[in-house]
Amino acid sequence: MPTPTLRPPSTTLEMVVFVFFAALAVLGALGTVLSRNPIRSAVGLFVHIVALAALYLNLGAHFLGVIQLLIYAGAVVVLFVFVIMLLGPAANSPQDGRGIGWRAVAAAAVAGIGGMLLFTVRYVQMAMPERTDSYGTMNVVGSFLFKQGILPFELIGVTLVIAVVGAFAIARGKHERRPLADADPTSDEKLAERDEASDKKSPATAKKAEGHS
Amino acid sequence: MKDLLLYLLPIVILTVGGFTMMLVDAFQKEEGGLSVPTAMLHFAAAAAALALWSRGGSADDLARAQIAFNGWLAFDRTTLFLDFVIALGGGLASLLAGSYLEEHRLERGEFYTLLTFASTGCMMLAGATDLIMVFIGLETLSLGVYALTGFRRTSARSQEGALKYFLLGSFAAALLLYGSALLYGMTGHTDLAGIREALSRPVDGAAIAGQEGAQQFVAIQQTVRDRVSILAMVMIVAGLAFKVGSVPFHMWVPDAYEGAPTPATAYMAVVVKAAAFGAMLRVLVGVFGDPSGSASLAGGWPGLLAWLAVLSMLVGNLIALAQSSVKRMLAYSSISHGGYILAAFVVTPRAEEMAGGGSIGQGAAAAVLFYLLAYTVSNIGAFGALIAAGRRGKEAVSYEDLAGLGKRHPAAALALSFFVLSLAGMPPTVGFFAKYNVIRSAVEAGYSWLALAVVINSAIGLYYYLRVMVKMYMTDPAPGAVRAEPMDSPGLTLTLIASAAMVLALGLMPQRFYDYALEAVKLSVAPVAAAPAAADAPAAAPSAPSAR
Repeated sequence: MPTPTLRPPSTTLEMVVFVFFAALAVLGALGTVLSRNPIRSAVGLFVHIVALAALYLNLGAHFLGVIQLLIYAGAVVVLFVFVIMLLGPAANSPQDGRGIGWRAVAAAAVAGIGGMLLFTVRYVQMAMPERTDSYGTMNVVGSFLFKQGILPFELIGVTLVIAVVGAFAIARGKHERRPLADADPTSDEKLAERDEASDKKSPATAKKAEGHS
Repeated sequence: MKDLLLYLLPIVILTVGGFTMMLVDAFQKEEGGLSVPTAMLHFAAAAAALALWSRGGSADDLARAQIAFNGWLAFDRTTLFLDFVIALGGGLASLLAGSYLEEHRLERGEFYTLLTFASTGCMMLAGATDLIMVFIGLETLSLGVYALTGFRRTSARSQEGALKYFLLGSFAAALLLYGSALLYGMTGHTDLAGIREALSRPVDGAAIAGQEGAQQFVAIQQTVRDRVSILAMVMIVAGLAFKVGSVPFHMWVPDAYEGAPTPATAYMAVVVKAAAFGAMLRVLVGVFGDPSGSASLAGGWPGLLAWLAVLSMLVGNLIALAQSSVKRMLAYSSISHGGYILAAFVVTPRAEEMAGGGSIGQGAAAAVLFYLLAYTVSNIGAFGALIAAGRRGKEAVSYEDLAGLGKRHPAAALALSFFVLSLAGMPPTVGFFAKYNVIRSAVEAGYSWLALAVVINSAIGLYYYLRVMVKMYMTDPAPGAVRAEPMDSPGLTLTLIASAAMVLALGLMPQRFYDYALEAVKLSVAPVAAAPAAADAPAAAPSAPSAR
């Protein structure tokens, strides 16, 4: 076998950390899919994500580890929990009534994907970047983003802005725009329509009112 | 370095302009009035592209520009040509929007910001020589266009179209991303030239040479890589084919086109398509190359595209025949136009003449670019004329609405007829020459069956295009039916006149503009129609992206 470039844990301590968090990640994933209560599923996912982040850190990929915590644990899972809370009891899925056939299909799919993963890990030579001591650290990732990657880094700003503007455009469009004269309650026409208008006899509104009738 | 930054000018103009417009929109008291500035921004970007084009620069200069930006974007003639098409289409679409949104009480400043930033995304996509850049560009333009589709929030149809487009589009983007990830996993590169280079090398077994079972291991590696590169190719084709709406990835097209405000429909039909086809040209020819030269099996993509092309033409045209709504008819016709363009794509990597400089392949790539330009001006005109034919509450939607328009409002009817004739491919207009180029390159390359398919489908298309004219000039409206009343607006008139002038100019001097397209293809840094080793692309970046 060609040596995989992401090196396996070398020291005992790294090994211990790896085994612990790998087991935790598997447990978390199982908890996510097996639990009936959606909140417990979300917590399982949270555990899984945190364990993965620890594995990344263990491999020396500091940046990835921190980002994993910030984005997935900090934002995605929290959003899930929000949605579950908002849905309330509706979030609980009813008893799964699907028969043995569907379960067999699901099991086959899991076995297939698992087999593919095993095959990939065992036989496929991935083209991986050379692992150095600094690979994946904040320092290196940061300098890549601001040196070689500056062009896409800046242009992603446009992507984020267009997403915000798009959301805004759709949210604001809920009410059809009315001409400004309709919307403004102090416009001449509006005042003239009101019975209790105190200055009904003011020249401007009187003229308008005549014109209307 | 300073003049290298010039190459970014079209993108910079649109980006800075877009941000400025956001501020202007936030601080102005009344809504509206942003249509002309948006159009001006786009035309300025188009002028910048033209200026960069005429400024020239040798292939060496262009290659240097690419290295300066680490090979993310190509700043070659192909990019400039596409940038010009994108900016032209975007500018005309925003002029249309100025009239349409005001008439239909949709005038909100976000429309123009979205349009401008979406054009930025289109330019990124059109110039991208790196899969990361392809994805960023694709997402930028997609997010903008999803929002434009759903812009008419009070209309259920608009919402339906936007939601369908969004969901299916996200799925397509995920497919594209998956394909890119597979390529990265196999090659360790995201830049197109690097991927191509890594894929064309046989799997390296030096590290384990002499060990037991080494040969077997290498053989497995080779097989896996060939298979996976086919999978990646299919996924990338699917992701991009979705954006151009070719069958069988066309389900969203009619709903999104019909639901979107008409200027947004025009924008989707021309600008997004131009960018996506540009990316397709670069990614497919640039990475997977010609079927015989590359070691990978994924060079078989022309066969796949031939299927997509024939299906798009046939399905698009046949369903268009059955439509009663003119806007839906135009949507299906745009699917079939995508098929015609794909037909030219099939020819781009002609294998046997690759070694000799690839003039047939280049001709086909030039036919693609020319078609995109022709299609942009004709389609903007057609949608503009459709806008002109109706006003608020009395829109022209179905064929019945158009009945007798020739008598009631000859100007609008004349404009619609003219652009529809160009779409149908009638000789004095540019549509004819666009199709002619496609057919010629197919015949030259020995794909006469493909050429035949284009001809037959053009004949089918003629039926529903002429039906519009028959309705307008030869029938009278049913008594009591809601008729479309034409609207009048200086911006709209200007757009129609400008598009008509371009349709005629391109149609009267087709050779001249085809030569521009050919020049665009020839002076391309990234391999567009020629393998990197081909004679006329010496600067084709053997060194460019390896810096990463």
